[in-house]
Amino acid sequence: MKKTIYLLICSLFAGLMLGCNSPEGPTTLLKNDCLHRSWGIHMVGEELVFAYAAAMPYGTGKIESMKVTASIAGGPSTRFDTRAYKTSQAGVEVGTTVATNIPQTNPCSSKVDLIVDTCAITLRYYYEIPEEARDKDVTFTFYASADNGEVVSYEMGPIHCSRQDCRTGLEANNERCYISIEDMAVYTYDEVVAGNKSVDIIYTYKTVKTPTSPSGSSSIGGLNKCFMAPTTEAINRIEELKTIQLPPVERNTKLRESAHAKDEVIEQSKWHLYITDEDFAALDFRPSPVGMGYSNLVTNFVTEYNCIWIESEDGRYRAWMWVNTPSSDLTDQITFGMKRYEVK
Amino acid sequence: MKKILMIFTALLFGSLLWGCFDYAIDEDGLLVSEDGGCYVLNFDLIDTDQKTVKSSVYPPVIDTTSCTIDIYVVYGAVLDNVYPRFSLYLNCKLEPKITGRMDLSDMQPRQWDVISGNRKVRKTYTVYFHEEEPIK
Repeated sequence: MKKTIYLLICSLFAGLMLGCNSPEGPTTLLKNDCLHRSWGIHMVGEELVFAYAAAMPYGTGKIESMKVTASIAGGPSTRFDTRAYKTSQAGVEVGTTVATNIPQTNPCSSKVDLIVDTCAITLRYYYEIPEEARDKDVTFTFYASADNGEVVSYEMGPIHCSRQDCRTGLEANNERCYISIEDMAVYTYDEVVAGNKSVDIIYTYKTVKTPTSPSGSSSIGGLNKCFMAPTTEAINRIEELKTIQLPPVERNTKLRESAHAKDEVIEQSKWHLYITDEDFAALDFRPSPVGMGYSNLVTNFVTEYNCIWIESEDGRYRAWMWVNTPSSDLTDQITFGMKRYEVK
Repeated sequence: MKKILMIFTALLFGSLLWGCFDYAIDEDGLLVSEDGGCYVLNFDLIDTDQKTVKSSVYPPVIDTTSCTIDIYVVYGAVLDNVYPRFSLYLNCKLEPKITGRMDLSDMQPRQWDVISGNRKVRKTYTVYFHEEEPIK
């Protein structure tokens, strides 16, 4: 019995030692690593930011160049940042130019040659998401080469790019009140007629005095910021909305006011909350209890807290709208943002 | 040993039976009590943004004698997808059940039956919807 245990322990140790000595393939002096620094849902036009680092033991050589190849050619601002950064004591990033860009014939590639003598470097790579990458995965291969002839590579991704579009800083008021989801723009009546624009939503601001107490003193109590589908049916629901001029083409857009949905890009907050493609795909406008239902009218809209989910009449687009103007601002002028998702 | 087991089994069955007699459960898995109280405590309408659309000036008027509820909503409230929320007296239940958001935009009166905790009293409540009148 004792002998068996002894043998077992011996073989265990032997096994451990074997593990230590197992070959791991050719080792290089040059090592590399990469971080994906950007967050969000990666919409077209946004930048993906990577920090690519390479290093080798001091005295064994110097790093000559860095290169990256993306699976889809990036937009015009795709580049390596030729500066290396350190953070000062005040918390400010201070950059020093360490490299020069080398033009590449392959549109998917970016390359820099280092102009300083160094054995360790981290450079930032910015990839502008192009239209071709919409709703697709992008992969990146980073390469670093040293003057001892070694070349190492690092794979990043796949990173999925969103199908959405977004627009911030749209302005609307009682004159400029015709919102188009297709163009993601706001028009006046004249612009709609002259440009034959498609209108999906009409915005209006109306104040109606309602009693604050049964005895009769009044305050502004009704309607306020309203959004409606451009249809006769929608504007006829409330007396004050009947005077609204409808665009030549009526579209029965589906609207649903909602709360607890936020997006950092449009809200310009720092909460890192996003409306994702999955959120749009999961929308269900069918009536309750199957779905969440819809309406053709939203009244008393609470800005900075509520949002509106939208589906165009033909079902082609789904959108999400957020008004940045505070609720305390009692004028018709609003600033809003919109996200749009094309349903395939 | 055997004796103890037997006693335990007997106790277990006994307690189960006791349970059956003590707490009756109806077909919805809800407690049937001995209380015959049958009335509505509060009523509210919840919009799709999870907030109420009822008037802040006129609270809902619940008449437990004539079994009517008058709910006042803010001017211009859209009642296409609202969730009627009843607060009922202890162990009461509603019929028909509210299974989701309802379209009440026609502002027509709706009826619900309130059933008492002992399931022996049934009262039909009629809900009337009113909109705040704007001041011209």
